[in-house]
Amino acid sequence: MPDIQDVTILLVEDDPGHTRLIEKNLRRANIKNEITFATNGQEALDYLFCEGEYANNKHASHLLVLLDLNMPVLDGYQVLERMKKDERTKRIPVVILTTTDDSREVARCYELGCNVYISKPVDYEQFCEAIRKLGLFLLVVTIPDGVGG
Amino acid sequence: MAQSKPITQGIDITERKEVEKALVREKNFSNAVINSSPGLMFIFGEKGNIIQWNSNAENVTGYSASEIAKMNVLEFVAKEYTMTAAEAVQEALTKGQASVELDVLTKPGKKIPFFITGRRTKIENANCVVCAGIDITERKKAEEQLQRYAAELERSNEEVKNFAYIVSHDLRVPLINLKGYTSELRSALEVIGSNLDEALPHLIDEKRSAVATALHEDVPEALEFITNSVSRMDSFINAVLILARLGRQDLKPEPIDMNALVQTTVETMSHQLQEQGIEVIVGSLPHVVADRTSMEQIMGNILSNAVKYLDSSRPGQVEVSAQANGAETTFCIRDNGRGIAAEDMGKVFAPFRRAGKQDTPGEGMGLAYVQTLLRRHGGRISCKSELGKGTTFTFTISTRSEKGARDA
Repeated sequence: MPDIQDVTILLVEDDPGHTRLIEKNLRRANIKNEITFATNGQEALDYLFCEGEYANNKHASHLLVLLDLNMPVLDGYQVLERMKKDERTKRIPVVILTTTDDSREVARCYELGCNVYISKPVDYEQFCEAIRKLGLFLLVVTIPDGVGG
Repeated sequence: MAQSKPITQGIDITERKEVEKALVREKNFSNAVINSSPGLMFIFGEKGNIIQWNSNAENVTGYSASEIAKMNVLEFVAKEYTMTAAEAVQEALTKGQASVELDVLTKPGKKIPFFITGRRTKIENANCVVCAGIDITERKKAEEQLQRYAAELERSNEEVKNFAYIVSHDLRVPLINLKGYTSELRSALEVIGSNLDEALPHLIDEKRSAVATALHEDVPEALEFITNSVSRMDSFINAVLILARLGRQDLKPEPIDMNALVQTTVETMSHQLQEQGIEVIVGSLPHVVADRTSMEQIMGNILSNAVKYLDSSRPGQVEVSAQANGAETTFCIRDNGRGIAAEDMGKVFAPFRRAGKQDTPGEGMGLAYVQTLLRRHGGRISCKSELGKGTTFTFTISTRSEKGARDA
């Protein structure tokens, strides 16, 4: 089993402000993993499948995806659906991290196979707390072997 | 006898002439009636052979009198209605009367929608049908127009609902940034501040006071304004989101004992009621079939408004009553509070609008929620009020709410 430190976090988020806030707070929560960024769903899939702009990249050995839902080009639902349908990516843990807290959307994501659903609190203290807890959670997650390639 | 003959004949002729005159008068009268009729009139035999018609039939169908005389009644009917028309003719002949809506086909090929009624009658011992038709083009147009309006209304309703939902969601994204980065700024400012305070004494007086003002007054003031505005925006967005959700959430209609529901609502306010000596009178309330959460919200909002806006100069009194009339139940919540001014009545159900003296907290969304919930139950609400006397809210919900509940 891979050491959790070796896991690359793919942060898929279209809002640059949110990206920085998430990154800052993950670092404050002592997450030292490599973080890769994608600003829309297509970019995330290209990275995951080493296509397009990432065609010549080596597959990251171990991955965990933090996925926003409302994004241009391809949205989070489409990314999640494609990941869970594909043999190569279906075991990669996916954490939905989004502003939406509508119960129907939450249910839909779990149906599509997401592992954890987190709503971004609007209140910043709560936001920090949520990311800090996510960080603690990530520290104890076991990632399956051989994902991401 | 022979002498009397001509006299007798003379009498006979006079009588016959009178009868003939009467017949002519009668015929002229009925022709005048038939021909002045704006509709279509036909008399046809059992085989559909046309016997008589009014002059408007010639105008409408475009056929001449000599043409019509040779035609069958079904030839005036557009092809797709031939079967319907034939059935109606049979029905009129066997049962005595029938009515039908069909398109009349004119000689130039135009189709005109008509409503036609037919009655069986006997002429010279033979069965025939007298039928009259009225042009329903305008009615059909109006019906279609109405259907189009209804569909449009439904669509725009759907759009507004989705719009509110999407907007309130999408507005949260920049809001998180505004909150997040003001907070980050504040933390950064503390770091700067704690270090700068040590450095300040080393600056020349003029610069020192400028830096101190910026650090201790300008920046914190700016941050304060931003934070407060963001919080207000946050609560607006949340309110819109709640409204959008109320319009979308699934309703679960169930039988509800309104007595128990109102009792529970009143109990949650009992502390306030006792403290301010407010009397709540609840009449005998019927059962309704509705979504329980919705009904709790509706009653809760109206009752808390009644209690909130009482007049401190007299003992508060709130009365809840109801009346079931057939398919609908009407609830009445009357208070003797401060009332609402006539010019403020338009604001009562509008989101974010509050009427009268603003001495109690609230965001002005309560009755907007109530109205949305009632509309979803196929119900309606109205408000009557007199400034200084009190307010009465009356709302009606469909008793068979399972059918009445719409996705509106």
